[in-house]
Amino acid sequence: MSLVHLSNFSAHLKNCLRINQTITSVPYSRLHLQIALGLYKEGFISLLQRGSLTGPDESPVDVTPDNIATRRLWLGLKYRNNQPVIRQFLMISKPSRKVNLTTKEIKALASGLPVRFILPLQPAECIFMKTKGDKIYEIQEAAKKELEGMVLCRIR
Amino acid sequence: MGTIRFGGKSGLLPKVRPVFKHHPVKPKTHFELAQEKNLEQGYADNVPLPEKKGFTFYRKPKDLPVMSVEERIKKYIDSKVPQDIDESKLSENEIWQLKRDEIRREHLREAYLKEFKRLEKIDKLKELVAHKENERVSEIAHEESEAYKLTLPTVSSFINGRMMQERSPEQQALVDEQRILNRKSKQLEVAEKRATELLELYHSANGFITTEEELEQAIKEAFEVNVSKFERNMMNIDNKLSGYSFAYAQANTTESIIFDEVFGEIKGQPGLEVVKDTLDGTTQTLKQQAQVNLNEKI
Repeated sequence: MSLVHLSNFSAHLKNCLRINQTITSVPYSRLHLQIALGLYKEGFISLLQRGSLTGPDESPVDVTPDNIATRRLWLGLKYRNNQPVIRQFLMISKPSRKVNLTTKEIKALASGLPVRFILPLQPAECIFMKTKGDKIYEIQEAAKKELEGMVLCRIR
Repeated sequence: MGTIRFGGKSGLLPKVRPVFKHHPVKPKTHFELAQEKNLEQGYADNVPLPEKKGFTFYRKPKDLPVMSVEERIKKYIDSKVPQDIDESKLSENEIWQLKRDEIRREHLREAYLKEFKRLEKIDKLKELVAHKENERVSEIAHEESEAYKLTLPTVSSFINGRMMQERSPEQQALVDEQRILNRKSKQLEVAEKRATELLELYHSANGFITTEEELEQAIKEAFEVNVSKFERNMMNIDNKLSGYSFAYAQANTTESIIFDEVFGEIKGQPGLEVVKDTLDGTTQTLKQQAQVNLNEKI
């Protein structure tokens, strides 16, 4: 779980969206899978598939130490009226400023209040947070489950 | 002007005195028992208790005997009704006292029953609150249904499990062996290359000048004008410049390289394989075998 990797992921997606790319791949790691699954659940991406450097797998392939170097996660990017669905992908926590929130603060943030320097949640925006067990949740889900942890990024 | 003390009241009201002070009126509910399950008091284990006369320390709160409202009414009200009183013998004042006592008893009975109802109501409310809290907690801990999980892509299963299948011990052992083999074959390759180089040096040592006579001979050859050799060299240079014998010379060189490779030789001299075979006696054995075969055929 690295904030640097998440920042790279964000920058990569934004670069791909700027040139209206429909499909892209990111390294195959747990963090990328968790964030991509979050984006998929929230409807920001249209495809989430495992694959190799050449493209998504046509039939399931087991990940082994022999092929791990070529494994990638393939994401389908969404556009609407020629505009990317992901308009903004901002990091809240940085390696130099990790933002850990309590359950109360998470609930406040989820209900649309500003918390510390974090601006209020906007309509159709989602914030991802990480618990101590390295699980990633959307802020509404985290508030419902009364979790606490580090807020990672906000997407809309 | 400061703030009003006690919220504008003249003072603090006394604490409300409980009606059922000493004994509980009903046994504890399962909810109360669950709440008090981990309740502890007094001194921790292994701590010596102080001496206190007529007092016992209990680690767990001791349950007081239950006295129901009916028992209470019987004990404190009904049993205290004066019996066999002839009112005609009493003075007017005493009759009024009796009536007053009767009224007080009725009030106390009424108070007992009312208080019991109130406590029951509070208990019900408490249970309702606890039930709601339990429901909320279980909802938080609730896992998604199987149908929900099945309709989701299988990625969630990857997140919870291992991202990569580890090698089994047997597979790992095979990989380790392969790695050792690779390393050793690489080392062997290097060792053979060095041995070949050494052999090459050994072969070229044939032409080295080691004695005085050889040195003198070499000097003589170098400085003596040999007309035929000079002319040959001249012709070679002319040929090379005109490109006449270039292809021939190159083909010759290539041929000698191929020849060396095929026969495992170094510039016509025995190569490393030949030397190795000779040293370990393989050549000798082969020769003998060939001889035997030849004799058999003859």
